[in-house]
Amino acid sequence: MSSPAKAKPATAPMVFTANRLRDGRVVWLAGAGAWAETIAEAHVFPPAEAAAGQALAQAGERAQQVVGAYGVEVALQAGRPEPVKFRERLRVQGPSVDAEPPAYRLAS
Amino acid sequence: MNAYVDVTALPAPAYPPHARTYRYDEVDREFLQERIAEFSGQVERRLAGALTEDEFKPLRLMNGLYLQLHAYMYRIAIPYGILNATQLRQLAMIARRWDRGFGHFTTRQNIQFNWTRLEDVPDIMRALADVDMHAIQTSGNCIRNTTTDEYAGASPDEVADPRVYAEIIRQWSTLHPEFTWLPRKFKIAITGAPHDRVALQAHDVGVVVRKNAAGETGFEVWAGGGLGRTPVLARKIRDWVGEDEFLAYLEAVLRVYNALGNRDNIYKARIKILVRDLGDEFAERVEAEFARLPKRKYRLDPEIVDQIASHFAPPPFAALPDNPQAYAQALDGNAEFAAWAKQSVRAHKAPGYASVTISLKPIGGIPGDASAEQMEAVATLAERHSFGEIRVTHVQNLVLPHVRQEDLLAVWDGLRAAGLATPNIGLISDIIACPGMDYCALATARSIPVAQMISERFASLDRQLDIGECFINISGCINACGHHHVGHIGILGVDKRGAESYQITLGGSATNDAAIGELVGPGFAYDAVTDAVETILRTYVAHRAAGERFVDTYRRIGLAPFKEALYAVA
Repeated sequence: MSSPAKAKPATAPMVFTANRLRDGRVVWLAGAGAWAETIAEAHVFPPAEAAAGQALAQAGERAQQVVGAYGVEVALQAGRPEPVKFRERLRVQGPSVDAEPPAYRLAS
Repeated sequence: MNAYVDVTALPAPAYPPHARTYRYDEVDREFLQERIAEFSGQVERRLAGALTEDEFKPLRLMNGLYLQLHAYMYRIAIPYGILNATQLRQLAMIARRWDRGFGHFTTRQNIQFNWTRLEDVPDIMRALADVDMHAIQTSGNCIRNTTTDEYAGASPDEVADPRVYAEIIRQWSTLHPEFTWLPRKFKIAITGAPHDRVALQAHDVGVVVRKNAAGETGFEVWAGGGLGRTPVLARKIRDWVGEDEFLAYLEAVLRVYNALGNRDNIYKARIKILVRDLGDEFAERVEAEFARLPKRKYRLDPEIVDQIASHFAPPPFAALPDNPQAYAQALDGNAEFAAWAKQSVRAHKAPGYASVTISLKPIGGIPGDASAEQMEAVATLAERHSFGEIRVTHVQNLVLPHVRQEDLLAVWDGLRAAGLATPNIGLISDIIACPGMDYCALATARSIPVAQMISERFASLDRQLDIGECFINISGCINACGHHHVGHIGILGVDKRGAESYQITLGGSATNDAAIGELVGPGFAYDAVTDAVETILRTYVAHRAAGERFVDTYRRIGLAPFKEALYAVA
């Protein structure tokens, strides 16, 4: 994760995401330094508080809970955070293609 | 996690009786168990917090474990794309037990699992070791899996079997102490046939196995190829290296690269930049290094070559006639089978046999994906009909190399039942696509759904056959894992102010007439790419002369007609 000194000042509300260390699943920084599995549970940091969010996310890395933490710019849609960038929307939704086995059945 | 397994207590892997693959000896197996124990300990310490990610990352990468957009991804080595049925069944078991029931075959003839859990990796490593497989050197700045002809040992045009030398390269390069931390990753391709089926000039080093007039084996060596953000085709640096000096010469190439490759700038670190910048001087420096090497130390002993070659001896082919009556009747009586055979069945060096290419590109499917059930179906067909052998192609398909022609109908039936009989090999829907942004953390755009849209647009087999041979390659970022530069039609997804945009190149080729495609113009939005491909192909059809493939027409008429069709203002 970039150090706060190097990070560009936030201009939009931010949430923080990472991958859970144990299984690699995408998680989102919720309140009080906990990590949740859905962005709906993420704590939204106003631009002025983004540095504090980053510090909390880095603490999660140091505590070996998560790996690869970074901030994601969001817009609030009906009070819920939605990533601004397409890449992060994919991270929220999972692959846009079928992530299960090809749909076919072996002939009996 | 399990404790360390005593290698002496392990049963030898149960190979199908005739499968010709590499053979591990006790040294290999002991090393593998040591590596499993070592990495298991590293995983335990990482999970316990004793290792930071900065400390752990280079360790996991050297063991093939990446962190991607949604999860860890585990890339397993399939040495030069060769599997036996037991190994493919084990991959199916791993897919089912530790992933989501499917795997993704890659352009490096490897397989990737997209949903691996870190805590499961030691168990997966043990399962792989049970069938003499691993994931070592599938990442990192080391010598990666060697690409080989998927029809090795089967193709009528083969001069020498490249698997023998690919195996020698594997043994030489695995944990080579001097080449474990190269300036960047290093990829070698080797072919034993005059027809290039390995994208030779797109590799860091390309090797052509040759025979001279005296029947001696030697090697033509190319260097400095690579795609990525600076695509360069390899140039020939030596016409002939004798078999006994093969490793010495490769060692010299790697030494020059290791010493002079750029370690300050990742974008200029591949050997292609060094070869491009040095020009003829690169080969001269290799020759000087080669001359300095103690040849006795690096001499490739003919006895060793013979021993390895014995592992790839031809299977016990029966004496059979070509074009048996049963096959001819099946072709005549079953149009669907005949259409599949026309695309998927290839001539074999042994009379009465054929090689079957299995499409992993169903219409609208994900290129290179196979479910656990499909892997098991292919393993069963390999055991019944192909001496237990399977190959993975760099085009992300599978091959049954040695099938009796009289069995082809039964093989087709088996493939059809498993959803694996799409008759599109070499056609417009036989698309190479990297995982793109749907999985990859580096990607700037999606690849897979673009491939799916194009595949669906051209689903009609009649239309595909009318278009003829045309390769579409799609990459989701400038790193070019989908080899878009060498596709007849190359598609590169980039991020353009937050939206996916797709640049199209035309006229690339990955075979003997290797070429880097030419950019046709400004990029296309995600929803407009398929229409753009349609326009390109309509332009080709309108301009083609009799017998011309897409790439032939392109070379004759150039970019202008395509540009005009794509960008003309209505």
